[in-house]
Amino acid sequence: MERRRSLTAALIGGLPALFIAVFFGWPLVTVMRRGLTGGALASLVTDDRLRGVIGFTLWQAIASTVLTAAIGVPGAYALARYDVPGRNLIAALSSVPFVLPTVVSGVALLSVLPDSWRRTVPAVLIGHVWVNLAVVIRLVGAAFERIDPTLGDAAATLGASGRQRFRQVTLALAAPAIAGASAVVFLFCVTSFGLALLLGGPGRETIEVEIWRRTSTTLDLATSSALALVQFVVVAALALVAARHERRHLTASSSGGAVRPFPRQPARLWARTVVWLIGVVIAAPLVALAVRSIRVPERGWTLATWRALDAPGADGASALTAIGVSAATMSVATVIAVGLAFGATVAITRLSHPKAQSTAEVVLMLPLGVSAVTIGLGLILTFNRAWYDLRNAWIMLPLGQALVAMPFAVRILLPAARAVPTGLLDSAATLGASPWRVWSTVEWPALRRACVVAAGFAAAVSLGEFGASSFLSRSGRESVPLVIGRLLSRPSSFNLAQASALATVLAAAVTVILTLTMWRPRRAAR
Amino acid sequence: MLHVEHVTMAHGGRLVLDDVSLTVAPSEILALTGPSGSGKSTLLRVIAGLIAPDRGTIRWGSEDLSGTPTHLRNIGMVFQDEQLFPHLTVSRNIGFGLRMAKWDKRRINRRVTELLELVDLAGFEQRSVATLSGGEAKRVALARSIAPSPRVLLLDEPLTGLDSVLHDRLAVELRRILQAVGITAVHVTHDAAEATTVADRTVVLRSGGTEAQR
Repeated sequence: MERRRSLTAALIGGLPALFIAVFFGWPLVTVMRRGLTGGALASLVTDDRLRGVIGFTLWQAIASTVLTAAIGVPGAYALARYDVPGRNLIAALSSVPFVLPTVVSGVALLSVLPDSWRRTVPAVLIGHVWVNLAVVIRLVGAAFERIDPTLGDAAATLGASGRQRFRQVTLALAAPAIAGASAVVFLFCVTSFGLALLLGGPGRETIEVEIWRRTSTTLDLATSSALALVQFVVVAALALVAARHERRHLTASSSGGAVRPFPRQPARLWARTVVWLIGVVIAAPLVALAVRSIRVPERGWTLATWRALDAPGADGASALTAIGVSAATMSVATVIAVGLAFGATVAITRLSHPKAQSTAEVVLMLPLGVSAVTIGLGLILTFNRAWYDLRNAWIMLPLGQALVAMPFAVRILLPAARAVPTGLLDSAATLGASPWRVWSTVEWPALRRACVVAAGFAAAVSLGEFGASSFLSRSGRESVPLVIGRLLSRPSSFNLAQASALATVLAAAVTVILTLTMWRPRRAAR
Repeated sequence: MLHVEHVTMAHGGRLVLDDVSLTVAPSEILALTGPSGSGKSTLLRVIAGLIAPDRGTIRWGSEDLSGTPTHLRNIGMVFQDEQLFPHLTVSRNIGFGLRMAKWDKRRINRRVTELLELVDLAGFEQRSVATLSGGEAKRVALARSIAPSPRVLLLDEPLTGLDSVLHDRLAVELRRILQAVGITAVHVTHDAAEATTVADRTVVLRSGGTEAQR
């Protein structure tokens, strides 16, 4: 019985393992080998331009992180501690930019920023703050909410003034969360591709943008690989430090006990100002996006942009074709991502050894640690020869997107599968149910809902995927984000309006998919 | 001499404290008992300045404390669930009030060692508060609030949540410590026996008013 179980696990888990090895492991090794050979690595130090790219990537990431924390921490505090009118709405709204596809965020910001700000450093920074504010507000807000206000009372009876109480107790207790959120934001900003590409410009390339530029225009694959390698090392090092820091801190202050909701104080003027300001800042680009799609400066209010969606673009394909490509790609990518994640989940839960379980889980999460651009670069570098020359095959686009989406699907499916008590499975088996019956009557019903949520998430990731797709799509068969990117690379007010229309479609599609799949029908009591 | 004069306070449409007056002599340990909901803890929070009463005053000698914020009142408090700072070690917890009072480092260390000995926890300086047992945490909380030598120490059910053997032992010890320091104390408890063990005198708070006992 035990042996048969392991055999089933090996068979079901073999496919995802093979997929990861062939479409992720092999390309990653190819990129590393290519980056390490032929002096490309040395040119990163000697070449002024490359040094500039690396320098800009780091400093814009630091600046973006500091700005995001500077706005997000007071916002999180105000939302956690004060009863500001509209706080629930604004808290929910602040997460929207984070789940929107990068290109949608890019177009939304371009719609609201003055024209002279386009392709400037401030535009890049504002973009990163806008998108990542949710990370700080969520993570740090949760930390503030966990702090018992009575601790402040205790400090007051020990002679601490209001300012001392805030700094020595509240801020000190939230500090690990602030550091953790900042590390996450920093990682996102270091690996920024879409926003940096759409909002920055010549001389303001991040490593990701430079990799893409070199690959697509000058075919300098060696330097691209070296850049990807350096970025991978930086990201991995930072992730390791952050994980260690987090583990050490968790053991130091997990004395909190049960979290109870603390009453919020009546809103002070500053708290109201900060929260409402965040609300306006988050909402403005979203509103501007919709308005821009029906208003072109020279023409006034018009639906021409929407009508032009089915007109052929500069290279033959209309925006409407792109919507079709996106829909088809999304379907295939979702099936691959969820199917593999599902197989991996079933296999992992059947592994008897806990260490084998956690190793398998880490392997499945690996694509998260590598930027989408690196995944795209790896795929085209690897599948370029002989019989496995797949560079022009349509399957590459959904494959790349599935790789990006799969870790998220595993993250959703695995906890759901683990929540099924093993006692339940065993008792079903002792009652005479065959393994298949146990599976179909006990396990599958518990996993069904998680599958829907995972599919929704994978579909949303696939629809908005930009980094890997930039390397993998064929001209004339581009997905919506790529068409938006192309429209914005030749900015005219009509192109921006049309990009806005497409971005609105994309944003609506993502919203509808996420709402439908996450919506939990309320069952009537029977 | 601590004076509580005509303190009245309503909360949620209910009169929690109705014209409460009492006086605590220097170095006296006063127990405040009464059924739950009788406003014992509320009265402590009013004395500490954590909440303002609707009417009435708190005085220390001739000094009216009404307008003085908590951190300038020099009134210490031990909270029911200790409220130790989870991010600080035992010694940093006990030294917190001394740092607020801008003591120099060496004096703080001496005082912390002295207090740890007083509460029978010598050598606990570098322990993380997460590793303390229930009884140890209560001792640290007591040492922390005694450290800056407040003129009054308020104790809000400081011995709840302990098993009965430990509870009885700590009650005796609490009296020893308070007497050793010679501090003026108001000890809130719902347990009449604990009140007799710890305090010199007991006052019963009943449906808002006070009633002296012994």
